[in-house]
Amino acid sequence: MIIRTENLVKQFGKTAVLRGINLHVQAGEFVAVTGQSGSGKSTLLHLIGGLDRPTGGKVWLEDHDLGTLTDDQLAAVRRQKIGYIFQIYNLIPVVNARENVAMPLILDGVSRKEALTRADRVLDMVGLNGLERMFPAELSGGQQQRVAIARALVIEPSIILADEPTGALDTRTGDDIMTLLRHTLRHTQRTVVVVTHDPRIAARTDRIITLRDGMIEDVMSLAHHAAPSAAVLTIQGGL
Amino acid sequence: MIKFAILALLYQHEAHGYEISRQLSLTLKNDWDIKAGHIAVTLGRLEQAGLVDFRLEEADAAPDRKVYRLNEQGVQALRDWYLQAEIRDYRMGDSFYLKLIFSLTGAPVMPEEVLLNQRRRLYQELHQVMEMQAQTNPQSELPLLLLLETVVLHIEADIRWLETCSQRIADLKQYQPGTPSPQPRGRPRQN
Repeated sequence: MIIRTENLVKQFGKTAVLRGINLHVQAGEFVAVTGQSGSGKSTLLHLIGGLDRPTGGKVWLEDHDLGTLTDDQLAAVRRQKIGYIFQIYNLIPVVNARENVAMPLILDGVSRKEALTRADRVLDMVGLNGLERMFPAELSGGQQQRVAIARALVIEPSIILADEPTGALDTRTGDDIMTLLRHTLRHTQRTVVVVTHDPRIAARTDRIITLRDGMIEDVMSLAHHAAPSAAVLTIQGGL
Repeated sequence: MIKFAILALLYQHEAHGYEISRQLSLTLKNDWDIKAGHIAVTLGRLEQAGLVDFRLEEADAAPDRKVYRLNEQGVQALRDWYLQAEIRDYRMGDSFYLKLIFSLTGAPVMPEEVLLNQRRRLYQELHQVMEMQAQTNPQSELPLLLLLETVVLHIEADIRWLETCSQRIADLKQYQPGTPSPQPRGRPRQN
């Protein structure tokens, strides 16, 4: 079990946003958290990622009980174990793609030379070979999100947390980003939790957790090799 | 429907029945299981309707083959077909719709369960179709890719519709269809 929450509660003032979430995610799983606006899905992601602390309940990441960590320890766990991908890419506009990707490594004490070499390798992996020296403003939305994914991957995190990663992209580019994520993750055995309200994104994961009013409403596993569905059979039946 | 597929092909070049059948499966990149007989019958009807003409082509050690071509009337019929917009059949009476409406007014299961089950099924479907789509070659299998994309978008729309229903479930449960007003039984009495 790589991520586990126990009776997780979060209140903002008198408003309960999460009301007792028990979540289990296995290593290597690709999980979607879905639900309407205000269902608590982003808040859940923030608590799992140690970006915020719960009002009640516990979060474990691997062997760490996040509630027992000091702020510094929590920051270290975030830096070393978790890669974040957001809807807005949060790239640094004044440095180029490879420097953006190398940044988390440099901040963690890796030499500049090695950091840039590793950045180039990951940029290549996400399909940005040749664009390493471009600045964020010179790249398309889809390319910027690829840089952001590379930046998340470069620290070789065990967990990737993504909040509406394709929310700012058109459908086609969003599909490509999901294909990239799936492909990359399958090869590197990372665990991913993606928060989305988009059925198209959720449907491409292994398991969908649906929140409603701060509670888990449904958990469904998506079978990879199920029998061909009715829709697919209809397609093959001809006109 | 196959009638227009044949006209569309014959507009591009003249052909005999077997060629038509092979070209259809090639163009549509589909497991086309229309029998050659079906195509022959349709060609006969098109001929009777005055939309296609044919010439006879001699074949070695076989009966002469009819090679069909589109005539002027056929081109006009094809033009009309291309330019007539199509409306999808929304099937108000489909099975899920009935389940939802009746579950709102009293059923052995809750409407929430009906919605949840349907949602799960649609997500499985969406997952499979999108997997297929990811494995489809965008160049050589373009027709299949386009077809899968419309399936994806329709399933997506259905999922969103279910979510709208779930969000409004408290209101939906207030629905009262009313009862039919009583009708006099038996034969009308004569005064």
